[in-house]
Amino acid sequence: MSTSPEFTQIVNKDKSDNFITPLWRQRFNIFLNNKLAVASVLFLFSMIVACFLVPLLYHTNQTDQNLALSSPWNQAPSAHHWLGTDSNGFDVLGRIFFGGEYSLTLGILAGFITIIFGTIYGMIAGFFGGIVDTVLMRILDALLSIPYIFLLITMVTLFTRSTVFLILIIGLTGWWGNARIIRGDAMLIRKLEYSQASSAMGASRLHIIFRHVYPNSISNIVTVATFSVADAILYLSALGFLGLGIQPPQTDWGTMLQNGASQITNGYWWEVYPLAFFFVLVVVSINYIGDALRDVFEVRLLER
Amino acid sequence: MKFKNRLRLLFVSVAAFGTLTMGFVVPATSGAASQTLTMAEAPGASPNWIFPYMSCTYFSVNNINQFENLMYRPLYWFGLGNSAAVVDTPQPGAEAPNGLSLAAAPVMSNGNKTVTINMGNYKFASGQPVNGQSVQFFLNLYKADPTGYCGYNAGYGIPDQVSSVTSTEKTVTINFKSSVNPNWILYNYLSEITPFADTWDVTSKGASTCATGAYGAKSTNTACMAVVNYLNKQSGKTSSYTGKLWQSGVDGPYHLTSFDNLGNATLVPNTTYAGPQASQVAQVKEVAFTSTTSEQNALRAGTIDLGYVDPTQLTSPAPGPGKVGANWSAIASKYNLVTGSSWGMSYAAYNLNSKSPEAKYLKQLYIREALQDGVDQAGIIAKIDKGYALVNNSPLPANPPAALGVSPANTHPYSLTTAAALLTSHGWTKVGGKLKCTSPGTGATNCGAGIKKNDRLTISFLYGSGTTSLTDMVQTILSAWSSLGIKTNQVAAPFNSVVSDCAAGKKTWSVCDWGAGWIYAPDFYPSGEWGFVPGASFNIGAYNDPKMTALVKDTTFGTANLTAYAAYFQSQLPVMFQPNGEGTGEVIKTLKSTIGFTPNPLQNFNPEYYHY
Amino acid sequence: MIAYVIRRLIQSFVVLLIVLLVTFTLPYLEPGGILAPAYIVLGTHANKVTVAQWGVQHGMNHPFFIRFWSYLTQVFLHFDLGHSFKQNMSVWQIIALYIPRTVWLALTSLLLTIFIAIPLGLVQASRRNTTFDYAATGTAFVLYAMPSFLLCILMLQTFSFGILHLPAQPPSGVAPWAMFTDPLPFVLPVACLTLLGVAGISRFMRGTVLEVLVQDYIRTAKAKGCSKRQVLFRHAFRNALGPIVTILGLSLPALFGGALIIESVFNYSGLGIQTVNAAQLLDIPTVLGITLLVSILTLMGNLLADIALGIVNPRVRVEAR
Repeated sequence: MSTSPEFTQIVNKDKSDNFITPLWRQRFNIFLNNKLAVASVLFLFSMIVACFLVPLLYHTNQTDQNLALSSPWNQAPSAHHWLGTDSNGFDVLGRIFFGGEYSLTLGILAGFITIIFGTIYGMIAGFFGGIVDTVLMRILDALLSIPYIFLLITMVTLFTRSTVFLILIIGLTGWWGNARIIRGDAMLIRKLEYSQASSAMGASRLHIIFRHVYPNSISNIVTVATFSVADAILYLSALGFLGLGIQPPQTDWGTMLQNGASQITNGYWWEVYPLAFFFVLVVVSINYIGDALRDVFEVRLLER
Repeated sequence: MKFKNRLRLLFVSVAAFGTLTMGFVVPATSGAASQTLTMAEAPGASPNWIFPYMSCTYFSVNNINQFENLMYRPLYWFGLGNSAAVVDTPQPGAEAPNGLSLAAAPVMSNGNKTVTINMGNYKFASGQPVNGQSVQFFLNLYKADPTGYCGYNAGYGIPDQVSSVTSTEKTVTINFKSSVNPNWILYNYLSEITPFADTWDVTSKGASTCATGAYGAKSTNTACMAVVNYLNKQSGKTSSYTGKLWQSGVDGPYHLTSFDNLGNATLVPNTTYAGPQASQVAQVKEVAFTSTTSEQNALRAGTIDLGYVDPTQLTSPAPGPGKVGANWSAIASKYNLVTGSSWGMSYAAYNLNSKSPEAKYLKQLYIREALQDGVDQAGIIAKIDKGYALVNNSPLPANPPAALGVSPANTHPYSLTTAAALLTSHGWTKVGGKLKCTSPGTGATNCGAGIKKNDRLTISFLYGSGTTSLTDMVQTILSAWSSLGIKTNQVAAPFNSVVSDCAAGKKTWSVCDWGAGWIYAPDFYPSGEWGFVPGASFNIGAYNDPKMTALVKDTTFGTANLTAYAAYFQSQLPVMFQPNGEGTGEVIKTLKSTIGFTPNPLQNFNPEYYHY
Repeated sequence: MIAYVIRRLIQSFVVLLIVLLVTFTLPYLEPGGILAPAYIVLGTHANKVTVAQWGVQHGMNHPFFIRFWSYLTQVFLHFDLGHSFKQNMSVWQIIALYIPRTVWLALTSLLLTIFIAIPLGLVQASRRNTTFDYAATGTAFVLYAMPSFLLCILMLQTFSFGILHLPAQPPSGVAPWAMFTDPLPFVLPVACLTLLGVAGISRFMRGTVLEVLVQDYIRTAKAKGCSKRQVLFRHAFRNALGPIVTILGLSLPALFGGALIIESVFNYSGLGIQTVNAAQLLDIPTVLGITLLVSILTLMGNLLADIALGIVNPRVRVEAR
């Protein structure tokens, strides 16, 4: 890969030019111009807030099976249960937010773990290069050649005993793709002249990583992190489908979708479609934010 | 407005996605062929072993009841239609018609130390009569390689208590070292005997002498080991299943004509079958499924004749025990719903192993009683199982034959007030919702041995994840226990991990619920020597009560029936009883049967009684 | 070039060893201990003696490194993947039985994905920000955001039990090539897997082509007076092909993984379900064998993709060093 001249230019601008609009400001403006991206952020934010806030306002019992048993199950939406009840007698609307707490929290936490590991690994490989890079990348190749979902299921089957384990497993097995991207990025930036110059001036390697490589990879890291969160939410739902998701009395969206989907033949649409709508919208908006961020950081587009 | 436009298009495209695969227009396919009976195998549980002498790896309903038994009949047949454990034996004598069992009822003599078996008039496909020698063949083989058979219980019954076996053409005599309980030996050991044809007395070098050798002789054992190794190896090759070796040993109503490694089997009637009912359909197909969902899709498509549904699909509950409610609406026009109890007891194990930190609580009878009082079996059955389960409060299965004994009346109905009173009267005080021991000691009003002042009553509950009904039931029970002030820690793990953690006697759990309890099959005698005496194979909670041990001994070596054992078991509660689920099967409406369609409690499959 | 291929082969072998080490070590970390599979395989009728006996039979009494070494020699010297703990088959038999089923399903979907996604992405990129682009992007976003099982179940519900009445699942026990002789029952599974693939690949294709379109040489081409069509197909498409081939190679494991959900919903017993069942039953030889095989297939796929690229573009050879 060769370095495009514009790239160097912008990077240099970032370092020296303060008399025109700062780069982050430009980028922020680009992001703000993307109305759909802004809408996605707002939606996602309100969804997260709602998951934690709505249960405080819209009181429903979501954990006490005894109480749930005394309420009728598979009820169509009514004034009492806005989105009806599920096959256990739990209020569906309340459960969407209740499950969302876990799905979103877990997705975000696991996504962050993947990005932290991916960044560290990718940085080390990309920056040091040579034999370190070769060894680390071969290990990565090995891990990438194993179908991820198989590994995830095996790990969850072997080790999961709690939600914390689930977060750790999704996080600790999901960073391989990220590491590869970050490594490519670090390699690219390492080749840039300024960091070579800095190296000639006697700066320590660690210094280079933190002062130059890392800030310039931040764009990729942020973008990749966004996608990682979406992926983690999707993988969690796949585990839910296989009955390996979050265990009761908690629940997550994947488990709920699986339960709902099995009831769809009975015509209980309220047990699956509203949640499916929220689920898809959440993942779409996360992915869209990721796309918008990538556009923002894609410096060539600044020329538009 | 760019934003509005884009968003609108997003929705348009969602609706448009539906048209992407619209190209294919096809009429629906019609139902099953009338002369083929198609049965759905349980998800992920397909037959994969043909030799009716198997290690625990292949010891399963799908191998034994639904596969091997169609070809190789056991010496004594238990259970037909909705009946639980009935032995259907032929009368002795050359002209008498055969029953389902291959021999007349066993005759005990010599102070219950000798059993004589009179053979009926069955024939193997090879032409050989099912005679005394074919029974001795099995017994010789069992003696030589006891651990190769999963039903082996070291020190008990056949072969460990057997001193000698002799056989003639029409009789087999087994002598025991000490007296045995007649029912116990019949239900647990004689029931496991499958007569083998002489064509199986072979090794790779040719014919052997396992069938004809003297019982227990060293030369017989050597010959038998070679035979069992050879047959195991052949059974390891699924391509050999339809071959001459296996099909020459058939004495049951069906021959196997095709078998694949996915677990799909096709069986056709055995024309030389000498039993009371020959097959009325041209062939029986057993079809493998990957999941209950996909099996239910096949039901909706009408491609199977005998299947099953998950009770969560049923919208209206069963009106009463053993009765069926409305069928699943998606298939109600094609199928009838049937239900039946299973020959087992459903329970969760208590860990009484002293290494377990919570064993000190569970060792107190009054705490076990309080926990049992907190289990709302009727509520769980009505709400979670949709009525398709039975209240279970005895180690005996539902409706045991009179000869076995009777179950005691339920002394622990659901009552949180009784439970709370039990705990309060033994020195526990509820402080701010938390139950703490305020009166330690070993007296009648104290908490009991090992429990210290201010100890918080804590129960760690391990259960199998992924099954909605089990999960919901555990949540119900734990909700009730929590309301008593008990601290509950719950751990859900995949079913198989639960089994291994429980069976290995880990100290990480106090209550272990894998959801299935114990099925008394193929050792049908519902006694307790497998799980409630010290050293028993499945005594995973390390239960040890001398009186229980003595009662178990009475019912196995002595002559007692199971009434006293069941009553004591219920009063001592070595396990937590929970509702015993009933199977919910689906039968295509065009199928008829002379034995009804109630799923057999022993999970037997008798397709020869079905016709269109 | 030959040196490059040899070097890559050696590297691939090393990668394979790492895969083996990782998958071989995992079961040792199981909280139930190394004998945990015994309790699962033997069931509740087994006692401690039987379990111990089973452990010895399967060499569980040897230390880790000896077992790993003997596994390596068994695999690489005798090409023996061992025998399944629970199924009455050798691991080779299991693979031979299930891999054609999954591979035909996955390959058909992959081909369809390529034929749909690449033109789609190309057209989208060339008609960027038109109604068509928004519609296609929106659809891809929604499909990509939907849990695959949900998409499959909804498709099944709609096209099998709602309209069209397509068969809900292939008949049990059909031959692996049945999808070519009797394609109807395979329409839904293949369509579902293809849709999932298209959602991801078309998005990537669109992005890649857009990226290529802003490169200097495209500007040069435009300046030279090439038509839009020429620019798109001669320059943009060719240059975008490299990344697409790479991403297709990398998506092979995901394809096998995706097949798992399809197999489960449509009752088509394949490698995916086998692996999950084996994992849940702690059937370690089966899990190891299948993982090894899929890894080999993936590495081979990547290697072929790289060699193809290397022939086309000598710069890659230098960079891969």
